[in-house]
Amino acid sequence: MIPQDPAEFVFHEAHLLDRGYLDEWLALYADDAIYWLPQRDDDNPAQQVSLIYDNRTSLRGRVVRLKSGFAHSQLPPSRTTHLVGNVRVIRDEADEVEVHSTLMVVEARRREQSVYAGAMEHLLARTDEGLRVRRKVVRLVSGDIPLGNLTFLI
Amino acid sequence: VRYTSYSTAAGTAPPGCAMTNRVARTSSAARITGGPTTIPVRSEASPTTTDTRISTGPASDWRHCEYLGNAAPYLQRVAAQHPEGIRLGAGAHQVTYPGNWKLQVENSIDGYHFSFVHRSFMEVVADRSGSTTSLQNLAGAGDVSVIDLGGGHAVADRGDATQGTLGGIPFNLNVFPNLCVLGLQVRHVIPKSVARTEVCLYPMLHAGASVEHNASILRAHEDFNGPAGAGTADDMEIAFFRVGDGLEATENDWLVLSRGLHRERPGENGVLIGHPSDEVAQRAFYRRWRQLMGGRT
Repeated sequence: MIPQDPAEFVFHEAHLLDRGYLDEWLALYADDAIYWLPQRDDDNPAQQVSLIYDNRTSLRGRVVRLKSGFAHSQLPPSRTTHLVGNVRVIRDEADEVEVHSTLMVVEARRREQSVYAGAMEHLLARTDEGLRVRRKVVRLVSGDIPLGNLTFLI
Repeated sequence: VRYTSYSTAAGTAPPGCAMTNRVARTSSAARITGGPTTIPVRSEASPTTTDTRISTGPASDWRHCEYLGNAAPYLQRVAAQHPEGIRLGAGAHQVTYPGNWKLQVENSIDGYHFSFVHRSFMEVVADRSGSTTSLQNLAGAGDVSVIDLGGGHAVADRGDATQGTLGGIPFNLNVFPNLCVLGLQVRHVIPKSVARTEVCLYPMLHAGASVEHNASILRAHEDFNGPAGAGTADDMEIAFFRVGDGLEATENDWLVLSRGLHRERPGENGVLIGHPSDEVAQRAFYRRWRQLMGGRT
């Protein structure tokens, strides 16, 4: 069951990612979804290169890759804990609701632990099937410094 | 000899990158330097944007470029890929890995690893297209030559007719020691220590093209490159991390790079031409490196 409370929805996404339920995670996303990790807060995705600027097809590609058995950078896979806090409903309308939160991800792989943190924005569409992600933005505090392997799912 | 392979004429680069869009804000000219010769490359910067535009100057400007040698015509083709030149105004992906910088230089031109290391990327392409025919194109089927250009420079040339492996220019060029141009990007490899490397990946925008056109270049670049890109991360895992592990082995002091040595053939201007899966480019690099490090040649 996909939660219909906006905050519970965001917690649920974090839970699916930490458990590796990739198909269930992808099903949270609307067909017109955008998933964006800018390098800096004032970046324009049409003019500056982003860490990730995925549409639904690209997101599906990430899941296909991770499940292919040949995604070497995730063999062995990262183990993660997504901690979501400071959840605020910014805008609540008939057709969509906007939720802002703070994200911290602790990732362990190959005997090393990494921490990623940032501000997260979810624009959730109210569809006939319930809430779906129309737009997710994660603004990492470390987005503009040299990073290592970020191919687990934020 | 200076080993700076790329620098901006104005501005101070932040740690790590020789040039970012922040630096380019105030730059009025970009040049490629190396050795005693400075190659003039026309560059126009707009004060209101982060654009740095690079286009080819008159052919005579390149004639004096002794350091670049046989690599110069390829750099001219890089700048000439679009009528108004290219722009490096979109910033850069920055990645870091716990390994030696030379592994990234080797990898940027290597034709042997693609079908294995980037198998997962090809699976994604197959999923999107619904067929496997595109896999053969990605794997570089066709008439590809890897050429030792002399001076440590090398190119994997896919000829004129075919597109690049991942779009963009139809060749992978290494300018000794640490500048690589391939697909849609300029790659600057920055040694931080013997076992720590940072790499800046600059997408090449088309000067004068529409925002939509250049955005599509960014999306194609991001698909494969950067910390969250399928290709870059798998290169880091296999070609840098795991190869680095192998290099720690103590049984044998030598890394053999002899693949295809017997079938190299000479070409014009003193170049050596080989099969795309041979280690022609790696030999070109290490011959020059050993020479500069004072070893026998």
